[in-house]
Amino acid sequence: MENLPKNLILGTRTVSFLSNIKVFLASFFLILMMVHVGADIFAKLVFNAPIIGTLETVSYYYMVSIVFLPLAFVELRNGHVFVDLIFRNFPLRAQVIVYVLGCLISVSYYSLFCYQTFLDAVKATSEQETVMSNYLFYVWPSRWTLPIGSATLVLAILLNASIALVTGVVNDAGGEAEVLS
Amino acid sequence: MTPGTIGIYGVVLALTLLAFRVPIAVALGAVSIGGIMLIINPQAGMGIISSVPFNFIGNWSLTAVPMFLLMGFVCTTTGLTNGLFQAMRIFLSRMPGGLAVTSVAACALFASASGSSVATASAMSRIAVPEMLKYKYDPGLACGVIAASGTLGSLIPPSILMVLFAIYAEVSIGKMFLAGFLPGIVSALLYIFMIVVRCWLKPELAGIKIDEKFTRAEKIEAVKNVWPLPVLIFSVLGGIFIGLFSPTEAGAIGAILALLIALLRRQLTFSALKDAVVFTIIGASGIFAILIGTLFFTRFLALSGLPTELSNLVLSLTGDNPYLIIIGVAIIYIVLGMFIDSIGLMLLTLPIILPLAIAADMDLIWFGIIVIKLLEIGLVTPPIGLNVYVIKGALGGQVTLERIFQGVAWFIVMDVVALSLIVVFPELSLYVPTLIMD
Repeated sequence: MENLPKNLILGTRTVSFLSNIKVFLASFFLILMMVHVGADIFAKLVFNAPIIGTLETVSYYYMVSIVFLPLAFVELRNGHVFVDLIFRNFPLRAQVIVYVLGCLISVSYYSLFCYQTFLDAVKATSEQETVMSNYLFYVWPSRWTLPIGSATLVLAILLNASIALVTGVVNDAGGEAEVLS
Repeated sequence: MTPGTIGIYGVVLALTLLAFRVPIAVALGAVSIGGIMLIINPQAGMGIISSVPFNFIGNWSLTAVPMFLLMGFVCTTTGLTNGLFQAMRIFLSRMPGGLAVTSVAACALFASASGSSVATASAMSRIAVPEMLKYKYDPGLACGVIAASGTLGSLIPPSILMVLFAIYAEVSIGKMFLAGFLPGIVSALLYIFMIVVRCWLKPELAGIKIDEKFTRAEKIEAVKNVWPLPVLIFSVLGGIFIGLFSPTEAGAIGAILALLIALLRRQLTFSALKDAVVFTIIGASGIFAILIGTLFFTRFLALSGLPTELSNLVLSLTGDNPYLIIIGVAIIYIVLGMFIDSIGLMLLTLPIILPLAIAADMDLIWFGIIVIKLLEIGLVTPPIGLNVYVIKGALGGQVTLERIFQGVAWFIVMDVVALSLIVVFPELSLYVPTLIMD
């Protein structure tokens, strides 16, 4: 980290800052999801009256935020699941080249993703998009988590690729992926 | 190019990208979007991005995944899983190979609560293996039992793999949980049976005879350490079965209960909660990034017609014999299981394998249990079993990789027996769900 050029350190700080804000939000929604679902069950069992809108709020607000907001954070922690069995036997220089090319594919994919979901979010906002429910439920705000999440992810991937190019090694933390299976 | 050809190139390209360390989510997603653009037109490719992710993720059933992940991480970060092994040995150490038998039981509980085979292997190898080595257990047995027993977690409910399979295959999550119960117990009992018989025939495997006498006070103390996990697991499952809450809601209940138990035991700290939340978020976001790729891949393959052609081809070769299809799936999983962990591998292969099972008219719940058992066997088979490597990593130079694989081999034999039972007797999986839910 200390050996990096100044602009990369600045980039790391910026992307980390952005991704931390979103992880904080996602964490908040995760806790809220647990409390909200728990409260709904409690209300159903005890008062025989569910909390109205639990299903919509939990699915469209909390769930969508938990999935899309932390994408960049996962990338910074090397938590996206990949296969490095063949890769780790490559010579160092080849590793960097293959890794950077792979990053470019990821960047193209998530840029397309970001572009399209941004258009969708703009459209949903102008239409004040709602979902079918027995009352008026606005879903358009959560449409924005997709472009915001994927845009920061693109920045994070570009940052990781630049760091690999500058330092000449691919940083493979990868530890977080292990806890998943 | 015909759609079928594009489909084949797409599959090959996706696998090639995977081999070059492109994340699974991107390899599946990028190939699919590109493929759909080629087969229909660019607008169709963008249209899929528009319609699939938001509508799919904004889905009530999926909330079970982050909630069960949270429950599992709360159990491990607050230390509810600590002391499990030490306490259970008090009750089980009298059996031949007592510490190994204790390990099977402790791993089964740990894995069921944490929902992660690899996390179980990693944690238990640090706790149980040194203890077994201290009593001069055969190192192969000591490591093998942890590697293999870690895999019980995905079969014994609640299990993230089951939730994901049920959502993808559009079957009931509750039935899936119930279906896994007996196969999980049978697998664990087979392990225990094998350990007891081997240690009885060849006592030196279990090292020095332990002649510990435990006082009443020690036993009570042990119960105090063991109760949280069984109580948690049975409340969650019990609540589902008597209909207090749905399997989807059960995850939130599980997470709340785990937090309450930790609070009660004064083990709930802010940093433990923070770790659990962060791990959950990394896990959930990573899993769903792959799942979105899987959904794109499913759409792409369906458009190429490849799954239908493949099903027709396979069915023309196998006829009505589902066993041959299962053997085919087993071969695919054992090979690919060397490279990819279970969740990734399942999400990668379902778009191709599930249409086969549907075409062959198999019961999807039963097929799901078989798929999960196969995925878990893939975690311990040589030359590369993820669990084995995790244990090797935790123990460093104390035990060689060959030794661990030798030890695991006995457990794989039992797994094959368990798998055969699951395949030959579908009732083993299907009896409990029909008993309770129909």
